[in-house]
Amino acid sequence: MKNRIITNSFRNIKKSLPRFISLMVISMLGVFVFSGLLSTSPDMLNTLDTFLDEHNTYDFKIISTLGLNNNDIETLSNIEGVKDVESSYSKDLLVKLNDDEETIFNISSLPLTINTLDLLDGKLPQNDNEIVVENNFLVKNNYKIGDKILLDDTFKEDEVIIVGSVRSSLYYTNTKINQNRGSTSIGSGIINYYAFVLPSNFNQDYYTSIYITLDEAINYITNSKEYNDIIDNVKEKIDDIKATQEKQRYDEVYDDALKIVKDNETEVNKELDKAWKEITSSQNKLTTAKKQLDNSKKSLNSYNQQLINAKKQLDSGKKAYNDTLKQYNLKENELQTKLNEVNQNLDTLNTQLALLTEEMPEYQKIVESIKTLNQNKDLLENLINTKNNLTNSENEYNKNNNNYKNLKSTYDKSLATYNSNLTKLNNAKKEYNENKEKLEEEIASAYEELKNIELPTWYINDRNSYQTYADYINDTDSITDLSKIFPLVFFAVAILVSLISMNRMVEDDRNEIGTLKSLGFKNKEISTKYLLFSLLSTLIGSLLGIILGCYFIPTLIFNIYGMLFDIPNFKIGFNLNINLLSFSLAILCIVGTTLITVNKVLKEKPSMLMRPKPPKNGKRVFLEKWKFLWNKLKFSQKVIIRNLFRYKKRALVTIIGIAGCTSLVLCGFGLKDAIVDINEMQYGKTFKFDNMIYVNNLDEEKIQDIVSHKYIKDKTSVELISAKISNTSINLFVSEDAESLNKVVNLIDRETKENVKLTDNEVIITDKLADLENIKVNDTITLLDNDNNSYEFKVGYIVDNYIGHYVYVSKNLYESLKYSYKPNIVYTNTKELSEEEKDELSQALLSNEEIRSITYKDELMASVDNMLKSLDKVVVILIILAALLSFVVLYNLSNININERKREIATLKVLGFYDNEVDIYVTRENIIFTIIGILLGLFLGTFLTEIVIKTVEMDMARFIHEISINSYLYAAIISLIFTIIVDRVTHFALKKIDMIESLKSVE
Amino acid sequence: MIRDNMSYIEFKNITKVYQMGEIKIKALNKINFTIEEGELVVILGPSGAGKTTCLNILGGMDSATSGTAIVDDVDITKLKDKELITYRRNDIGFVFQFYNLVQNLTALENVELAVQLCKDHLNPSTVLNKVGLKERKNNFPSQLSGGEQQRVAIARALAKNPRVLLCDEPTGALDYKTGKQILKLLQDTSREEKMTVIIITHNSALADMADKVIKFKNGEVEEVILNKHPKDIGDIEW
Repeated sequence: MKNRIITNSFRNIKKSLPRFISLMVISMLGVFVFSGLLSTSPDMLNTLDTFLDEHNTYDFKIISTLGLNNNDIETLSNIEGVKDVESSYSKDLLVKLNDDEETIFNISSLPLTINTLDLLDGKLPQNDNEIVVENNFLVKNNYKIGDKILLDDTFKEDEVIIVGSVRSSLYYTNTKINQNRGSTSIGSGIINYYAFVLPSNFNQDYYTSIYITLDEAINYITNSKEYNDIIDNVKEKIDDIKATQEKQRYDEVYDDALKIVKDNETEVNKELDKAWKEITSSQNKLTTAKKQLDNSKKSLNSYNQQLINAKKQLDSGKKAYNDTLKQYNLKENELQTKLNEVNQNLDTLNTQLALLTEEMPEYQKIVESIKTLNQNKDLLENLINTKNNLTNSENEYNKNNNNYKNLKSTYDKSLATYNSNLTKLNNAKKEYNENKEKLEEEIASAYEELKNIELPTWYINDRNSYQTYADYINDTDSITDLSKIFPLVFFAVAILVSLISMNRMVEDDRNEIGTLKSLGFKNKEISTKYLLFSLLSTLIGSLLGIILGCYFIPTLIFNIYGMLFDIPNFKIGFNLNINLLSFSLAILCIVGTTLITVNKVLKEKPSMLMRPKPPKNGKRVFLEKWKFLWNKLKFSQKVIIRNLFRYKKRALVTIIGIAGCTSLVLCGFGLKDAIVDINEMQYGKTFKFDNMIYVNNLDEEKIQDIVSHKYIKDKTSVELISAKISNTSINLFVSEDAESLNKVVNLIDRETKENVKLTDNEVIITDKLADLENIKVNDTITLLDNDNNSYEFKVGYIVDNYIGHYVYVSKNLYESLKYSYKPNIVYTNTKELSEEEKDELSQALLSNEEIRSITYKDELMASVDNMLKSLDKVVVILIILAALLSFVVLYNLSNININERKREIATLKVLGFYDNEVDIYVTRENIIFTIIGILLGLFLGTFLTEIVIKTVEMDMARFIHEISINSYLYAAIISLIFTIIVDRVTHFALKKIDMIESLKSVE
Repeated sequence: MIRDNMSYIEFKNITKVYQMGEIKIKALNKINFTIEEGELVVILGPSGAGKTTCLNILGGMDSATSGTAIVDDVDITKLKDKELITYRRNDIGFVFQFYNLVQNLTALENVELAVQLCKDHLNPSTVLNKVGLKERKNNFPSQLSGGEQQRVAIARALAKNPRVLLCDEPTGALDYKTGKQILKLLQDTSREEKMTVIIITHNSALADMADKVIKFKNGEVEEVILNKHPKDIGDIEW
């Protein structure tokens, strides 16, 4: 025969299906939230682990201050536990894009086995002139496969063609907000994109980094205890060889450098010798030339002397000749004529003489005349001769003189050449000496510099050194923390609901229990019905909760974290331990309370049980003592007040249920509040600029000059430096003075909410930074920039800020630390610009070589807004959860309320209460409970929201820890709507109450 | 409407069939009777004879399957739900075997609960005084004896100043002496207030106190007896 207790149990479930379902739903909710939240963290870790493992991502990344070599590779691969070792070249590079913007690439060598790439499009590089880039680069910059990028001469092929787009497992930061792939010491300090070329395209004789995977590590979830143990174990071994390898690399670098210096020295000496030889030979040549010149000079001089003598003779000849002419009163041109005349006269006389004899007187006279004439003739002939001689001599002299002059000028030219050559030689000598000194100095300093080669330091990084990895791990921990808060609300309500519901069920069955007892059933057998009831409902509910929770909650949370992380293929897992735990918790809460309730009743004697349990007695409430007040109340008000105090347990559950519901809704809206305004607060209230223009580090005047356009109304230049305070990345914001800083940033003291001013003695820091690093006003902070320069400042004020961390410092204070202020960012204010006007402005500015890029405020805001949209999902989920919670609680309680007061309600109906009057009579209490619950919920929700915000708050942003009035309003209204819906449902239940049946007799 | 020869209450061919799943149960089978205004009527019959069903139909708590039930010229079988409530509210007073007091209200408040509904009501306190509960007005039901609770129930019904007072086994849960006191209260009320009072009982001895006795058996009216000289309840022993 069938066990009729069991038959009864199943019939009972059918009969009290709503009760069954409500227990089922409440256990489902508890398990849903608990299992869901708890399994999120393992799911997320598993997803990351799968992603990393699929790409054979490194367990260790070794970098060194002097680079790494093959010896390092070999030594590392010999370490026990090490699976693969792979070398990599890497270089951060400023690249000019088609639109004149500059962007920074990290270009690495294409990996072989470790950190393998996902090829998203195109192909991998096969030639030196090919490159693959991350997909974002193509999308964000309008580049496509086949386009070219210009690298620099650290690459063999400096013009490369994009052949494909890839995803690397080395980078999984979400780049929606800012295209940030890590920090670098060049340009703006932020790497924008990653890309890969063939290793052979690197002009580099050492490796930038070595990636290592371990034998066992891949078998364990990343960051699990087992994984970390393996990592720690191998890390010790690497630490052991570290010093040797560092020395080894040092020796190599030193020897190489020494060889280069020595080679240089030899080369230099050779060059110097050669130069010296040249100088000597030209000196010899000059000496010979000098001798020749001297000889020439001597002969020239004697020549000159001869000429002078000749001139003297000529002149005295001329003088004698002229004197003779003067003496005989002759003129030079008359000489020939006179001579001819004399000859004529002579001829005449001779003729006369021949005719005469000696004795003739005339003869004598003629002889005398002939004599005289002959004398004259001789004189004249002499003079003519002399004249001819003189002319000849003069011609001779003139010829010689010309000759001398030619010789002399040749000599002068030679002398000048000689002199200039001499000067040249002397210069050459001087130069030689200078060069020699300089080169010798250089070589000496090169030798000196060799001493400066420091012993390199190895950095043995595990995955934690990638900030995004560390953040991800931290966030999974936060979620585990959350799973300690939320389910509490649900399980607390579950306990209360099952307590009341089962209590009612057992009370309803008093008679039956009594009968069964009197028939001789054991307590255990009797309680089977109730245990079966609650067990079955919890079982079904929990299973549903596990299935839904394990799917929806991790997916949702992972989607939200998608704002920060870009990891594909979320893996939903089924974690037996977690689900067993939440299942047991649900059973413990619901079946446990059932057991307690049933046992209480089972203790009573059957006779007592079969007698009706007297209805709960009416009682006066404390208010009635104050007659003056009590008597003023309307009759209906009195009834409510009595009832409020009469059903304390029910009141408590309703209030807690509604409070839970309200606080969940508030939490949803509050979470949105916390984030949704950040954007406006940062870019609308805190920062006052319309766009920021990145320029090369320049002088103020230059900037004023190049950053100018008709659209730009106002501009303020600052120097922005990426730096760190311990582990927090910050922006060091160097401003000309307090006034120009105030033009860009609204500095509001976080305590006093008053405007503050930058001074030359102290810096101003932002609030989240102060919280993270525990910095107070008047503390001294130490910053380290990407070049390892350190700065020490005293903190003057802490100001409101929402996104990122800033340290504001004045130019004077900054320069007092021996750094020079060179602005690299210009914040400008423009009129409202249309898209076309923006393009126009960008093009105008970017055509200047010194201007790197321009970012508009609305671009910044749009990217953040985009990210925030996913938060709407959280709000919806929380509201759905809250709705379910409040429905279960309210429906359940209304149901019990109605069942418990069936007679009362039937009586009212008999007395002639209209339906709506009955509704009011019954639901008025509910409404009051709801209002109290809502108020309590708003109060508790404020704390819950604060806890949740604190848990999910990111390091880089400060959330707004203030819930808006609207959110309070929404939460209250939504809870109220839920109550009203349940009340509507109750209305039909009330209508269904059959007066006759309920009043017939006492059950 | 002209009241022509018509009684105050007239049941004509009232039939009530309960549909219990597949089974139909005929609780009333074409019953006919009349009651005059101010009459004290006792309805007699064994369990399941249809007494209560009949009373419920008269009280507007249940509807007949067929037939007409006229109360003061109104056919209550034709009334809609809301009109039925109004009918209960203004015209009917009910007294049950198990009092059905609201536990959370004092005696006075229970009466007040009822009178807040009607315009033409009596003073609750006066009514309670009349039923002999002057001293117990501010007690909760749990602090009252069964007889006292039933008095409160009667007071609650009377305070509404109904046209018809319907009592379903009003003494069923009470001891002999107390039961007698309650019946006396009902008889007095009928006589003094000229109120139509209908009492259901299975105690045939009570037939003597009524102006009219309607006997039920198996869902049918077996017999209607008119008492020319009804006895005082005090004179009846059982």
